Amino acid sequence: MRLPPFECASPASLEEAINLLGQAAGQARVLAGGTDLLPAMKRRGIAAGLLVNIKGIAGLKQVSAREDGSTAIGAAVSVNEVTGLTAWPALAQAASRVAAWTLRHMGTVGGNLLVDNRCWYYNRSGEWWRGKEQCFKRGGERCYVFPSGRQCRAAASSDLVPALVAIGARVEVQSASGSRLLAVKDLYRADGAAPHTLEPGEILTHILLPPCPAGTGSAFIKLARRQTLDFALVNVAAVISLAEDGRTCREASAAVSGSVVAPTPLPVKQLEGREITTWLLDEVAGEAVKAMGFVTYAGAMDVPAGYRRQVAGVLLRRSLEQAWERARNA
Amino acid sequence: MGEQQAIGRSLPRLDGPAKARGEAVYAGDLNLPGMLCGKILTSYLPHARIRRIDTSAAVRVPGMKAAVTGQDTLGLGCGPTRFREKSLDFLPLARDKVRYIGDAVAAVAAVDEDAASAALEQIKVEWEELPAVFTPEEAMQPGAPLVHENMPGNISRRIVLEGGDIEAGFRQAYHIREDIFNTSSDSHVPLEPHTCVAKYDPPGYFTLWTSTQVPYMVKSDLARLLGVPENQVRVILPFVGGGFGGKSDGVFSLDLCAALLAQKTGRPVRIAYSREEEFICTRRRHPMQIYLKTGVNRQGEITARQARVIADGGAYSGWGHASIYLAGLFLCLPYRYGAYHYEGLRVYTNNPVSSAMRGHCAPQVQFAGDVQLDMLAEDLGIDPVEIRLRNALEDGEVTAAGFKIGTCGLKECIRKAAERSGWYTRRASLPPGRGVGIGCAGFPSGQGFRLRPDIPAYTTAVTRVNEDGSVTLLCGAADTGQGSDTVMVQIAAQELGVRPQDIRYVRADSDITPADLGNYSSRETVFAGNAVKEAAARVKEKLLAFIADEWQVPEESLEIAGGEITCASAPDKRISFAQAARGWQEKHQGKPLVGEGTYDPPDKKFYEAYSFGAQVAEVEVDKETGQVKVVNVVSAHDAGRVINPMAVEGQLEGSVHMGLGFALSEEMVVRQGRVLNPALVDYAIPVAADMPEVECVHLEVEDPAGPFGAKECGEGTVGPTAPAIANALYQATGRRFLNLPITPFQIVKGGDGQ
Ligand SMILES: Cc1cc2nc3c(=O)[nH]c(=O)nc-3n(C[C@H](O)[C@H](O)[C@H](O)COP(=O)(O)OP(=O)(O)OC[C@H]3O[C@@H](n4cnc5c(N)ncnc54)[C@H](O)[C@@H]3O)c2cc1C
Ligand code: SF4
Repeated sequence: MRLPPFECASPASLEEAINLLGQAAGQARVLAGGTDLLPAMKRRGIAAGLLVNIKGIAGLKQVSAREDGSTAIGAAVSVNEVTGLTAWPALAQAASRVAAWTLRHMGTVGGNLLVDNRCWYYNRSGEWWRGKEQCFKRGGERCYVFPSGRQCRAAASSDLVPALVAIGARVEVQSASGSRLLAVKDLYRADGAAPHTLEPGEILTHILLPPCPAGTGSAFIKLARRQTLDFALVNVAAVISLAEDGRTCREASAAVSGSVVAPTPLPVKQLEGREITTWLLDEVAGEAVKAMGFVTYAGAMDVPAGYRRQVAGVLLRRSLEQAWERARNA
Repeated sequence: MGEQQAIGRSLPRLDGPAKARGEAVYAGDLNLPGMLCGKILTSYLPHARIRRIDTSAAVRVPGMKAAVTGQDTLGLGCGPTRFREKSLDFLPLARDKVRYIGDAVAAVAAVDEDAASAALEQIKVEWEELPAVFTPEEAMQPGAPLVHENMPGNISRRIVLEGGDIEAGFRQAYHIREDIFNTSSDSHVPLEPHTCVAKYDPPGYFTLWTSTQVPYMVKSDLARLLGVPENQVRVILPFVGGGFGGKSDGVFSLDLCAALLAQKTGRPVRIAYSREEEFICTRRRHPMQIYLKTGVNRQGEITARQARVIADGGAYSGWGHASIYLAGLFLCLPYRYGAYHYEGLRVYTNNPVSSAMRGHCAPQVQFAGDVQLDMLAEDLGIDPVEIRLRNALEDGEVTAAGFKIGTCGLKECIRKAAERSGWYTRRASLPPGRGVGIGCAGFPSGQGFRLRPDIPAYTTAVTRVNEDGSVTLLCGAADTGQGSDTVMVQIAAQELGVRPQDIRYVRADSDITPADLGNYSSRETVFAGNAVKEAAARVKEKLLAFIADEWQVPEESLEIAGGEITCASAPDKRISFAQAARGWQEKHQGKPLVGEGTYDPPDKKFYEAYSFGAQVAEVEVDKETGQVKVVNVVSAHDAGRVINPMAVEGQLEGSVHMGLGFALSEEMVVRQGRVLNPALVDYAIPVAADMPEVECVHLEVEDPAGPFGAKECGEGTVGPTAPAIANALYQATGRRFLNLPITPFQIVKGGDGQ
């Protein structure tokens, strides 16, 4: 499998990058670490005439503190660097479970947020697809994994995203027409064929982490078939903030990915204002995971949906427990 | 002796530095002048007749040099088991029909890979789609479509083995169990996908550098397929990045296609399989359904065992005609049965081709046999270790399938593995979710049966002493990463009493080295090792005779060691090996000082030496998610005399890795003949972080059949891992798992029986 021919530009400034993307009218793509994009191009899953490499833009490679107390992580910061950010343990945990060291070194945070959805059909090469009608995600009119489905159910697969959604992080996006801020969860839509809401010409520049409030704990758990180098079957993150009494839940949030088409916040608000007990966490987790909605197994078809849903509940309970423990010790 | 011993030492691999530095030349690293890139068009239909192939548009693609199809071949079939005409059913380039998604239908050569890919897309094939069969059950239905028209019922081979009176055996039983086991479709996953470079020299000489385990089979088969005399095909073995049985089928599509394209263009052609092609278009482990009925007496001794194995053979025979026989033979290792009956059915389907894979059917049947033995032990209230000790084969026994066992250290392996793992101390007090289980296996070293009547030798070697007293060892053995080159040098060095670094090893090159059947059936250490030892001994004899004559002493009083020859009866006399060799040559008009060796196994039906092993695995299960962590494995192995402990440990650890994947995670998912996960990211082969601690225990039992008493250690070791893990999971979960792989989902679901 070889890469198709393409142009590559390495602008030194964000403005230049935005200009290049704007001019290319949808034919261009941002190239960050390339660990997801280049294999997809080799497989002929993604086509692009121009790649705009953003790794030369100094401003996107820094982690900085903003005046409002938030932390801004440049989109081109490596995933490895995020494993060292300790403010939100869930995020560091998630980062350390991404792929393996070398890929975390190449891979960026921005690229991780915009990693493509995965499916055992879509993941295959052009040669494998020879003679086969295209599916939704390859521009066709059918789905092989869920033949009765009317849209693509490829699985959302980033590990950082559920952590960022639970944390309540936002992203900054820039284009020729200006910049906008949006919640991480709003970067996604439930269509595996076009899973991101970013418009062509837009660059994700920063991820903004809110300050971690006092009495807050967070946790991330990933289930995969292997310890490293494997995408999540299910991954869950949870955040719990305790009130001053150290017992009552002030705020709680959680999110799931891996077995869903778009990373999904899980409703754990019922915890708020109540005294936390293991029993309560169990009950709330059992209820909250129903919000997963449609469970997809497109990402690894040998692992059935029922099992994934069941395990998502277990992981949610455990991550709530871990977050709670961290909150008590915070 | 100590220092002077070349064997029994962890000599670092001779090829280690070159490999670590990236200097070792694999087929994919070869760059010949004018070399073209070849690519193969494969079938995307599981079963279809080829009406027409039109390459006219492809030929017009810029950079494209030539295309070949089945019409450019003689239309002959091939396969590794030449002793059965019917098994030669694999056409490396299909002619009339394709039988699985992945069958080669055409190939092109172009100036680069892009041009070759573009040209492939321009080839038009007119198909007539045929109904297909995807499971043995479907395939065996009356009236089912035939994968091979001359093979009724899609039965590739049926075989029955009998030993003793099975009815009487079951009558004697105090307790009988019947269970059904299923194993999965595993892939070899060598780090280096199959790669071949072919060169053509007029008027008709072909040279191939191909990543194979069996260079001489490739030579012989390719000559036949091309219709040229054998001496017009030269096969040179480059460094090979792993085979595990997957490169032991002789000619693959890439070999024939590269040769034909090189002939057509007059330029060297390289074809390298992509990882996807490696998964789909090569070979896999036979998935099996194993029905097993076993009777035991009150003491737990097996009075009768009956098995019926149905194997999904896929589209071609591969090694299959041997495989389905071996499954029956290997089920009789490593235990003693009062009576035995085996029926094996290998069935053709329109799935990828099944063939040999490390352990060659032993891991499947031994998984079933060993798990069921655990169940029997429990039924009778006998400790799993104890029941194994009671049934374990011993020195000199004959198995129910007829193997004459030489040395057998199995009982000792079982005891050692149990001791080292804390079987008697910790096992009873493990916390919930933890479990310890045992598995055992046995495996032969090299086969005596003549599967390749076309190749006269089993294995041969030549040693040549050079003018400066250094030694060149010419050996056809195929080191595909297991380290046999190093072991051969150690054996020759030991025999000649020189240092390993004084020996230059010449790897298999069919124009230079003498013939060897290749690296399969765990042959190399015992077979090639014996040949090498003999070749060295011949030189030694010549030298000693010469010196005895010079010194006027009896030959028996001479010793050759530490690079010199000394005499017990004349302590003042000594001569260096180099001087002695020089003297010999001078006396013989400069004649080359050479020694030839061969190994011709005395037992032409079965085998000479058998390795045995026991492993105890400890697992930790997360009952809610079903995730399993194999915490450690103690592997006690009787590989005879250990020539190179480090190399043996490499085999033991590597086979735990393979057994781990076989047990818990690896499966090529095939639907309607199509492999859905042909990629390392989607096929869950374990990674380093998944590996347990492995403790290796060597049992040094010298076997008279092997060189210096060595036996095999590359394949038998895969057998015990999966049953040990499955049995440990039983203790951890209270559930039996009879189907592989035992995924977290299976565990949460609660297994396959009590
Ligand atoms: C074997 C393997 C295992 C993996 N395992 C995991 C895993 O366990 N968990 C996991 O989360 N990921 C995994 N990945 C996916 C990937 O390596 C990581 O997600 C990585 O962080 C992606 O970052 P990147 O910079 O390489 O992205 P790229 O490949 O450069 O980009 C990915 C996508 O995002 C777009 N993009 C990138 N940056 C921007 C930006 N700033 N603005 C707009 N668009 C942008 C690109 O155009 C492209 O479409 C794995 C990949 C491989 C090959
Ligand atoms: S899930 Fe999406 S990518 Fe997978 S087959 Fe269906 S449409 Fe294609």
